Amino acid sequence: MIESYRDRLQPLIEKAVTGDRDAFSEIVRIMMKPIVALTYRMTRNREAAYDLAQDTFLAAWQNLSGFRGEALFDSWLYRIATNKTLNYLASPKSAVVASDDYRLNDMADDNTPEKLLMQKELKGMVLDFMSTLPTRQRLVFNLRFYRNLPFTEISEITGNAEGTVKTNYREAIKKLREYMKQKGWQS
Amino acid sequence: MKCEEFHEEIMLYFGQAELPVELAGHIADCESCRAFYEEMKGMAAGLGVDDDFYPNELETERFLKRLNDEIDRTRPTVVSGISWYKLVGVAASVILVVGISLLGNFFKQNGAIPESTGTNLSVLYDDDYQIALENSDLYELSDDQFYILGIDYTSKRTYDAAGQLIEDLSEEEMKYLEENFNVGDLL
Ligand SMILES: [Zn+2]
Repeated sequence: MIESYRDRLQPLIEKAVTGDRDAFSEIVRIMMKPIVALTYRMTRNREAAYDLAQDTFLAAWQNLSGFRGEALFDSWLYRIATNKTLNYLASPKSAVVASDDYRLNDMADDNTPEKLLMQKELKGMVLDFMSTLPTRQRLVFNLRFYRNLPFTEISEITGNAEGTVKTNYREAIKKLREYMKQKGWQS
Repeated sequence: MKCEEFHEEIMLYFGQAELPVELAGHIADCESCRAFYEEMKGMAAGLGVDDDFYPNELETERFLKRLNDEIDRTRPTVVSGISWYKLVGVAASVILVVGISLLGNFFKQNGAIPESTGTNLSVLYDDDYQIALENSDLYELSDDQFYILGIDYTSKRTYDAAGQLIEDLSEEEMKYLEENFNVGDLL
């Protein structure tokens, strides 16, 4: 999945660095989904998630000329988003009680109502679980589980050593296991 | 490796489609690890994919419009809205912050780095702090370094403090900074 959008991004990046706004818009269309998913899972606040994504792309556009080709573009974006999100989470405005608006979009149509309900409950559960994790663990869990990124890249994005990042992930999985057991979840 | 260690390793691949050969080999041979792996696999499948967090087409286009408006709005302000001496101030701070990451010990010995207390950096006191903060996202700053940037701006001592710190640098250190950082690149 990662590779597929990387291939699509490459020619667009080359155009965008020369100031091509259309190419940049196309990049936003491709990368908005994973970025919003990340900022949303981190903040659990729909409005903040969109604002942070907006700030991320704005900073990316303004600094596109400084983007060095040797870094992966999506990693670079994740790093900007990560820094913005961590700053946000450290600020008092994030202390507003997390809302429960975990339905960012309608579910796929081919699901039965029962299945939908179950999935919805599970999604809510996962988000509840994630809000119990310390920020760094939550971040690593998102980048690894949902974005399938290698630990080396997560290490670059977060600015933490690879060993630390791996420990964060393991801790999150151990807690998830406990949490799901507590909730009586069966696979 | 003991099975316990394999369990730790298995957790790192939670949610991943493929396992390293050594790990897969052991799981094939070991009942305890196989059971653990199956449990992990079931848990990961239960969490599902994250497609319901994705913004739909309408939301994406709305987002793009807002972003493009923001790009149009901020570009002229950023360039013409600050006077040259402020830019120098921002440049000096950014250089200092980047420099501090390399000359950390020097500053620590001189007691110039305050203990990080998690000051709220999102309280923006002026435009240039905002700009510096946005740019600093791209230069892998640690929390401490953000803090330094923040305290200078929030206490309104920026330019004086930056100037003082530059004066405190030895000739050798100044030369190092000059050789390794380009103000134009940073802004
Ligand atoms: Zn074993």
